[in-house]
Amino acid sequence: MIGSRLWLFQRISSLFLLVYIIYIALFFVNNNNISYFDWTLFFLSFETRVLTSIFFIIVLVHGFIGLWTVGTDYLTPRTLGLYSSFANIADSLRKIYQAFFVLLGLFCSISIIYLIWS
Amino acid sequence: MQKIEVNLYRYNPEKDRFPYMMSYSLDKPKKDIMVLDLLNMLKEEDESISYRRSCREGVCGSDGMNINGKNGLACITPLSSVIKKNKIELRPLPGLPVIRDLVVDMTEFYAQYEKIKPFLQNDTEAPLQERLQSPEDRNKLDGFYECILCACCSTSCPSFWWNPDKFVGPAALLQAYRFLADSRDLKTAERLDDLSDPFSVYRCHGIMNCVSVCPKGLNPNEAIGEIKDMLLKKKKNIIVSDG
Amino acid sequence: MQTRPTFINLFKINLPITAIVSITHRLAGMYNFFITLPLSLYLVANSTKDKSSFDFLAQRISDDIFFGLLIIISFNILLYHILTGVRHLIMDLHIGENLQAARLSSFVVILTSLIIFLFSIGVYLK
Repeated sequence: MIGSRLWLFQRISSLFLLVYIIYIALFFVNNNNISYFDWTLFFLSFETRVLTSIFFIIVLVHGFIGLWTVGTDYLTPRTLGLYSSFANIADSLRKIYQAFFVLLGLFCSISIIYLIWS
Repeated sequence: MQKIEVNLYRYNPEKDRFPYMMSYSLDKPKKDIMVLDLLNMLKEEDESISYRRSCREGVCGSDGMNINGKNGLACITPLSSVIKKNKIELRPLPGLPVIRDLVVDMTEFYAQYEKIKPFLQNDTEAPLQERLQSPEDRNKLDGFYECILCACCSTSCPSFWWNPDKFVGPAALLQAYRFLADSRDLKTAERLDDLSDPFSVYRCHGIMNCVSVCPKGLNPNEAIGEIKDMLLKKKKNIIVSDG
Repeated sequence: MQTRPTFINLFKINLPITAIVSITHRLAGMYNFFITLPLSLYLVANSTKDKSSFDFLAQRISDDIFFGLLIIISFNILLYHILTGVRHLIMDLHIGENLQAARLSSFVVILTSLIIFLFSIGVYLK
């Protein structure tokens, strides 16, 4: 159950993320010599702020799932044991890595959401 | 007379602390031979070389090995198809513990095969002769039943290298699908339940090394795609099979 | 008894183009999270604070070539991750699952990304 949930979330979230990125890109494609006022009128409009907020929450989870997968591939006793002598600390390294990316992600996403609403 | 250089992975646990590559020089054969023939020629010179082989016709799966970087069956790999600048490198299948020279410990590979229950599960009363199956239903097994469990695919898969105990691997997943697709098997729901964790199936990211190396031309990636579909449908609680 | 060795030398194992696409998709994803995400925070913060911050940022992008290239490269890596991701999605729909098609789609994605990258460098340098 959980396997297909994570797998499906990555796919569906990626579609939303793609749409948002196209939405932002279109602004840059359709406007030359963007001034501060042009930019804030678009980016700090209510609709864009809502979309941006949702984007940075979804990108967080999408990233967490991806990075968790990376960690459970490489930061394991087996993999580290194949290439180094750090097999015995693999699980601790993985926990540190997970803490790091969770904190970094939360910091960036929450900061951006805070900035655009304040 | 042209010479070919063979670099062979050597490891003898009784003598060597670490594996090493040993170089052999041979006269280039006048006609094209199989890599297995080459190994047999080498063994005549150096008796200590160890490798598995049996049928010499590509059906038993014993002589899977890494030939110039790519996994394959030595007995059906022509020398001409792999030799590069008169050099050939032979190594054991990647990722599995090496017992000696080109012989690897297949325990983890077989364990995953066992895990997916590679046998027909049907509790209904056995008919007098066979359990019948229509030609259309039998066709659904084509491309899946032919696997000879040579392990070329799973040992070429990075996801299997990193988690051979959790990720089932292309070979066993192909077999898992072989039974999921078999109309005579009635435990489809249970099989899918056993595969629904984040590791068994979902570590497949479509790297497709498996398809690239399969000596029987099978496509484990496609089978895994079908399993993912079935897992999705199960999640949506659509009835997969009648009990 | 010593543990058995394993042959796992990545320099000696063939990695076909489909494998290259897969690993670069992963690396691009990691870059997006660890570099591009904080970079986005910086860009949002400075582009929305006030006019002088915005103007300074715009000036920095055109004058500071390293900073400008950082943005161009980060954008292209994001785009690469998206293109390889879309290829993933299409294959999830069982389109192009055979080896030949998968190799072709890999090549197309890499080529497209390269072209867009060169184009964006050209646009930036003008």
